Amino acid sequence: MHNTKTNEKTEEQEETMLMPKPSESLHQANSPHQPKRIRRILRSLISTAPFVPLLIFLFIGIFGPALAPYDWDHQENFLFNASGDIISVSPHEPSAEHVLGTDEWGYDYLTRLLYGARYTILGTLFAALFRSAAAFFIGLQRGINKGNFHRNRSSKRFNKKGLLGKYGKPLKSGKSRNSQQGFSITTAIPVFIIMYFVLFGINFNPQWSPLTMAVIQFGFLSFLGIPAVIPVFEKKTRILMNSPFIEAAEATGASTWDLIKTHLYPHMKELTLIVCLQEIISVLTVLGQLGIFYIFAGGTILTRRPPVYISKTYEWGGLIGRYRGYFNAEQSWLLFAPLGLYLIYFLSAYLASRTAELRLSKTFKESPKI
Amino acid sequence: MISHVSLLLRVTGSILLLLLILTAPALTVQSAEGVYINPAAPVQQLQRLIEDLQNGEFFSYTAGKMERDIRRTLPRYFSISLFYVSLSLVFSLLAGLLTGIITAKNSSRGTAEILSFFSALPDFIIVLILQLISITMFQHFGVRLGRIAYFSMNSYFMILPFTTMIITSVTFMVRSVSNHTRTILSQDYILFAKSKGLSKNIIYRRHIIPGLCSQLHGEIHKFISIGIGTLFIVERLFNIPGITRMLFSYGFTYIFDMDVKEGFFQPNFNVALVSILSLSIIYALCYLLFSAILHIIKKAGTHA
Repeated sequence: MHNTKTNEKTEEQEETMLMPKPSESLHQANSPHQPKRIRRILRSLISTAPFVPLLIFLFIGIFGPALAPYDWDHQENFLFNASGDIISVSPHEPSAEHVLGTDEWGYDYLTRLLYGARYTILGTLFAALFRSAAAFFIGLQRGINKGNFHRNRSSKRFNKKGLLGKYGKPLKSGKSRNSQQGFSITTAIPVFIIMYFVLFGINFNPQWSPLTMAVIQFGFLSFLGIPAVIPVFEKKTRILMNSPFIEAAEATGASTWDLIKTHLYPHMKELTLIVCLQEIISVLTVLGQLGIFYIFAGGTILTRRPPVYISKTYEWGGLIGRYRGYFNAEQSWLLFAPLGLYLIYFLSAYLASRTAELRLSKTFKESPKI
Repeated sequence: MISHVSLLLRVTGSILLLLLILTAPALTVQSAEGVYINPAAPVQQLQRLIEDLQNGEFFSYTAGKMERDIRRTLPRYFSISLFYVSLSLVFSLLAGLLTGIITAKNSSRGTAEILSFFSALPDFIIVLILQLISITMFQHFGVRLGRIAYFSMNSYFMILPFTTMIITSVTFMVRSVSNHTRTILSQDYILFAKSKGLSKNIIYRRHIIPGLCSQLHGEIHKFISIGIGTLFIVERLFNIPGITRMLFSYGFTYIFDMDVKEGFFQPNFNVALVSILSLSIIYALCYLLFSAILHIIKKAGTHA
């Protein structure tokens, strides 16, 4: 042990000795290494570029209200000219004063959308992070158990413990593992419909504050999405658990925590990022679908005569649902403004997710034999 | 024996879960005093349902001021939903199979990216874009691409709902087929078959297509789920009188009394239950249909 350290020191010293003097280093940096370094910096900048739009949206989500041109309560039902005559009754169309116009009640639409961004952006991020984190830990735990089983197939200990599961059973002839997944009535019902039923009783004219409502809604949304993500982490863990380096680590006495910290997590970092980004898209989709059915994040105000569904928070998905019939209307900005923002946010998340996905798939690409 | 018990438990569990989901709106009650949970609500709903079954009122429901019979109205709603789901999914399955196999080897990066993008795009956004394109085309060029909403009970076929349902399901199928084909193509037994001198055609028919059908059989559940999920959105946005419209129009009504500031939940629990069960039947029928189609393709490939 001592000898090794001494050797290392010697090598370090040798390296230091071999390093060029400052003057030499500068001289070399100016000639052949300079373009390489610039290229490397450029490459790293380009590789992080797809994540920039998402970061901008994160910034808008956090500081949206501070960026808003007006206060939340600022209302202009009428616009007047210099001589004091009424020139417009709300909703006012986009102008220099109101870049995205106003809504039916004269509230500045850009301001309201920036306030609503907190729910759309931070809500989806929170739900995606929660889903990914929960699925990661559950998948990891299940993968470790099943991975251990596969390695110790003959071990009676695992059979006694009942860790066989469906992966331990022999397959029926002619059937793939996927085909053995059973049918359940609940698979016929999409997640947003379950959300609809759960929230129906409390979402219209809610007694709770928009924040409480949003926490409940996004909490449910996160919870319902976890089962779909668990198999991704479980499968990856199982593959890793059967790798020779894990066996070697276990043979040298590594504990489960050591395995997770040193081997499993570093191999699953990219996958976790991809899943998280994909879940942003998934949550955003459900948010929009719920909006189509008038279940708005933060609560829905329902007027009685005439029955009008109004989003309490001006969350973007809800506004699309509320104004979905305004394609051809004079106030089409009421639909196109939230629709545009929703689509740009969706594209940002998609771009980041796809970039991460492509980077990972390049590493494990197999070529066809014919 | 164990598998039968497990199946029975699963079915019972699913039905109980379904009943719990359907009675969830009655579980939470809003009043001027606040929000409270009424744990007895699901049981009360079930009791009412059983009573209705006993006294023969199970099949009647109120639609506005009209009294209707489920047995008379259901077949119409059911057939429309079944028509849209089955036809669009069968087309997507066959088109996806063909395109997926072709693009597995020769697909350019662009094709893969387009497919990936459309499979991620939310279904309601596809509907809104299609409606927008239809309106713009008609206003500027006088070209009528299709009706943007369902008006007549006599005409079933609408091109825009089909396009939406096909886009969402065919992208999934092409990607899936393409990925599985690529995986099968990279297997050693394919190389072995090639080294034996078998032609490409025979390798595809005897090895790739049967393998592919087995893999796809496991993905039918997801495929139909996508179709059913899109059906909810399509029927809502195109105003199509299918099962999901029956569920939302007559299954639940929410009335808010401004005077006492209290919301009332008015359920037609029987309608909700029948609608969801009908959707499950549509799901099961589609499953059987696609299993049969894949089985036929597999056998045809092997014995041809």
